[in-house]
Amino acid sequence: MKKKRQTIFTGIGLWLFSIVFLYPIAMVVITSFKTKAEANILSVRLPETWHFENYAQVWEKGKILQSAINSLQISVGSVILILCMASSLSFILVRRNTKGCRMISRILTFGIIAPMAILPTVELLKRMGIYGKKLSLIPLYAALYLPFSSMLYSSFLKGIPRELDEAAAMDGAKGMGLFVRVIFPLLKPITATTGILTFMWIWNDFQYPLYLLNSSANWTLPLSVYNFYGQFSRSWNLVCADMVLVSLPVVILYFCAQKYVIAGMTAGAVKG
Amino acid sequence: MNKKKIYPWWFLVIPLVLYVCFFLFPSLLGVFYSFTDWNSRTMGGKVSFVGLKNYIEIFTSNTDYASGIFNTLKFTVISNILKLIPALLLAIMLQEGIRGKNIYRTILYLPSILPFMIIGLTFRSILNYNNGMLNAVLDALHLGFLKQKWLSDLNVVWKSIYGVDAWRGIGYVMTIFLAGLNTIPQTYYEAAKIDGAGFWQRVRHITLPMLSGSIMINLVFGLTYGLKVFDIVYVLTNGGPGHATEVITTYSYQLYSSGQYGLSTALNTILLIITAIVGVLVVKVMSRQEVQQ
Repeated sequence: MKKKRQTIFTGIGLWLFSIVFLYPIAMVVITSFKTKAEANILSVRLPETWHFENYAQVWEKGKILQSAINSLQISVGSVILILCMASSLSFILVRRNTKGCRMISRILTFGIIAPMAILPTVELLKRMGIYGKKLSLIPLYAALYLPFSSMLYSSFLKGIPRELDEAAAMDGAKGMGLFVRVIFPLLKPITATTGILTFMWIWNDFQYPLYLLNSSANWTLPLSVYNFYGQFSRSWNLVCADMVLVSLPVVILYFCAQKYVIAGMTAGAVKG
Repeated sequence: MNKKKIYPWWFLVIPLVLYVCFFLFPSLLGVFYSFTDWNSRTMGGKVSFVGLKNYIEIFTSNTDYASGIFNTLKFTVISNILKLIPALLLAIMLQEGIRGKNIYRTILYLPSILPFMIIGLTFRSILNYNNGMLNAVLDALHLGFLKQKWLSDLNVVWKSIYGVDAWRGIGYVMTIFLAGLNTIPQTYYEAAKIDGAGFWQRVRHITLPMLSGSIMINLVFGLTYGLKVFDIVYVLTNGGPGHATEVITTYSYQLYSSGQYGLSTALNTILLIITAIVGVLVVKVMSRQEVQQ
């Protein structure tokens, strides 16, 4: 009896919590279908008629397509670079495991903790003549997330027996061949996790673009939202539609690939 | 078998070069620049040394940069407490065998994946004094006396930031705790129940010690996140009202915009030192724990 009552209380508590978490999101989604007048007071009250045309309007005025292409190029480029680099780097570090390798791991750990030095980076990019170009963000993100990604790969690689490499080496697979044909396919689950996590972080980031992309033609989606808000702060229906459009890719990715997102965090937590 | 041939060292070259070029080197360069008069007018490398002038200015200037440093530390401590404890309780509640555990986890984790920019703008409207949703809800519940100028009252604005940050981050912390809880064998709890241990005793003597790994991970992520916080403050208050909610990174961005690069890198160097100290401490505590286990 006592147990049952406890469960009911926990259930009610969790529902209240969930409502607090969902309410703001629901508000944004519902407001995005309202008229400008209805949107004046933000609430979860349903609109009288659903104005899907808000989205068409935002798509035109918000330059969504251009920003989406920019975001996609930067995120996908960075993620591919990170996955290639982190997997091969961790493979060598874990398998060789010499004093030097452990030293490198420690230097990489510094990159998880330390803040990025953006101003000197700006100067560096200027000297290299690539400041303001959107593709210059790719090596920056790769360097920024290399340490965390290597950490994930390293803990996964430790679970793959070394005998496997040796057997493959007997059959003549060494170096690149061994890694590409034997090891990398085995890393699929952790590659999915690392790829999805870093993709979401890079997609959502606006600190680097804020410092490094000065022309609006190069802006990523989060920056374009800020700009759109500045122009249309009186039309919350449009601002909300813009926000929904910008969040949609990560939300869809999250729902499709939740398994991998959770798996990555589990790997970290269990390892300790 | 020849290790060198199976695991060729040149695999390391590209990643390390990139990491050094675009992360380590700028960090060191920043420390160097923090001792110079680098600004928007000094062109191409012609900076001159000014010793500790930038650092002295940080602590003596009319603009209260020191309070920015203090705010950063305050945010790091309080925001972490406000996320860790509720997240732990939620994780334990979910683990206790509630139906629909995965649905709750999905909902509570959802805010963590949304862009900061969008969370910030949404809450800027929710917390608006005149037509914001929060005050409207309070009115509707006949709790009008709780209404606040959430983002413009000096006594309330930090609480609003903590609240929004907790809303965004609790699900993430909770998911890590849940993963840790899953590894605790159920038999431990059953044995404790037979010995007559109550709920809190079980939490204190089984859950917390077995969860030390997840607690550590959350602390490391939480501390580094808190010290480097930028997005949420920038979008929600942009340091205002006045300079009440400035943190190191927002000051650093302002100084960048106004062309005082030397001062900006000095602030960033202070942040680097603080994170390094915290990082070393955490690693020390962590390795001591491993020895004990």
